[in-house]
Amino acid sequence: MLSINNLHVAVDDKAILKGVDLTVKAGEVHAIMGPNGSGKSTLCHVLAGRPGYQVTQGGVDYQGADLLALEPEIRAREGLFLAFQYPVEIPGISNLYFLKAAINARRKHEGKGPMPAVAFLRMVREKAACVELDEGLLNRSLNVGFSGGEKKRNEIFQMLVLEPTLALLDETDSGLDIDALRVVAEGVNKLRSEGRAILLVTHYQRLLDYIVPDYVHVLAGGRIVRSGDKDLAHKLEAEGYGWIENEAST
Amino acid sequence: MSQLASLQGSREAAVARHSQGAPESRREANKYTSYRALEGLSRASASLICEGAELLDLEAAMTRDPERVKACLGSLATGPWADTALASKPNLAVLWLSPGDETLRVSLRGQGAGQSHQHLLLLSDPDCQRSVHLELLDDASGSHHLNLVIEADLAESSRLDLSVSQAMSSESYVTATWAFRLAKKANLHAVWMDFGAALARHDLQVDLAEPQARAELAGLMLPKLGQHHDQHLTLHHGASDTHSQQLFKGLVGARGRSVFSGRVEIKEGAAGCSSHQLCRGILLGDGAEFDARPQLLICIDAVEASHGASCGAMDEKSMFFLRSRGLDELAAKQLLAEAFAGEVIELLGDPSRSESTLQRVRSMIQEIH
Repeated sequence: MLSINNLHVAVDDKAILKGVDLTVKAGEVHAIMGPNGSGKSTLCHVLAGRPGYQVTQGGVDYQGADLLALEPEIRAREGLFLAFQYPVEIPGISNLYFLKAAINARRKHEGKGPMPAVAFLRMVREKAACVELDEGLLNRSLNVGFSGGEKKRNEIFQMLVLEPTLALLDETDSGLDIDALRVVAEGVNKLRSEGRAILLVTHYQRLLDYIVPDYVHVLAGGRIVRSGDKDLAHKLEAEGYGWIENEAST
Repeated sequence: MSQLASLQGSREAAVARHSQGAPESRREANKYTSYRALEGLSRASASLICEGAELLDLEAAMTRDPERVKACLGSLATGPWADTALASKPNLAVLWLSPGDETLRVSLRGQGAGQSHQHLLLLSDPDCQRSVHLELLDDASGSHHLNLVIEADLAESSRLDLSVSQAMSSESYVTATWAFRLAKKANLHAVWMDFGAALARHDLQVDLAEPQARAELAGLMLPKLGQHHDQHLTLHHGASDTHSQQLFKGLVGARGRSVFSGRVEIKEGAAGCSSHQLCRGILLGDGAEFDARPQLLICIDAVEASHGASCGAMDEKSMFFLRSRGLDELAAKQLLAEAFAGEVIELLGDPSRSESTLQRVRSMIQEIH
């Protein structure tokens, strides 16, 4: 589904990613861990198409297409979803209004007509319940006045509504209390299926207790320096990143 | 007619002031505004229509309450364009507001090329609540300069909900002086929307003259391609427990210019008053300009007052967020523009007018995209 090949990315001429290679197949869940500043969020944003990053080398194949050549909205309509670490607040745009526009943009891309209002409302209520998102928040301005936990639930709610093929979760667990973490993780697990893949960035093993990954990768210094299974996350939790950085330097 | 003659004094005073010359850009109040295009225009006419109420002529209004008419006419509005109008023997009409649920719809339409002057007096009875929607238009048959003076005297415990929609053709100009005097517990809720005209200049003069008067004022300007929209507010808190909110926004297309000047004066007798002002601009293209001049003059302690101004391009993070959800660049811009303008538009309190205004915002974004 996703093949990242020798990806080099710079911001303002400063190299951030220095040769990332990663292959994600349908049905897989990959966790990316790594110290602060290693390029995890950069990787997510580059994949989602955020302006301001310069790809200086390498490429990304997504379902047979050159992902980096696509506009962000085309990537989204082709099934890519980024759950933001810091969801933006947009006063004046209600959750429902924006989501309906997003869904219908994707349906139009697929050659379908707009979703009927009744079906849309039924669907969003059902998905909101999956992440225990207060229905009152649906009509509120996007993330305005939401708590940190509500914002993260709202991201996962949007993901469930948009039903992506490839979900990128950028530190979705940060700022969540234990109960909210469980709810958000259950929401993510509802999306798991043979036809979908998830790439999640996290600092902590605790998220991986709920969303058990097939692969764990360590991103350090702009490259993936180690890959393993879920046990790698346990080792990182216990020992930190020092041993990997030492290995990498030798 | 002797009563009419007694009004001659205010006109003569205006003539004297007017003889000092046309507004100059050297004056601080006109710092951003050029009136050069308005020079040398010949006299033209304008039609004034009101649906839902009868417009009175001066004689009829004087019959109803001569002292009040004399106290207001020509004495509330100040400034060079008001003087120009008063000195030019404008068309004069009086709208006496009586209670009613129906919104009064007033349409002022400039006709042909040239300059027209209109003077409208709005008077409300005590306890009267009324909504008025006023449209400023022209017949698009040439460059028309519509010069309008509105003087409104809101009696005790009355409420006026005013919405103004300026949609003149891009060859035309409007200068409008709006003067409001609010008596005790009177309430003014007013929204100005500027969509058209090469130049639109509104001088808004609000006097919260008596205790517990309250004003909620808002404006939205959508200039583009050489258009200049200019909303100048002077607001006096002259009595105790008076309150005001002001929200003015400019959504400025390429080579458009939007100006907001808001001067709030809290006088010595205005204990316990509050005033909050916010102006914001979004620049949507090359050569777009938003000039903000928030000013606050406080002559007394123990009042609550704030002002703020911001200006910039559309928020890149928000744009990317919306695009990452599948909205294309145009749709994302339209949504953000709607959200920006929506804060003012929702103050219209009229769903159909709100929707048509939102449609104008969407169209503008589409045009300049």
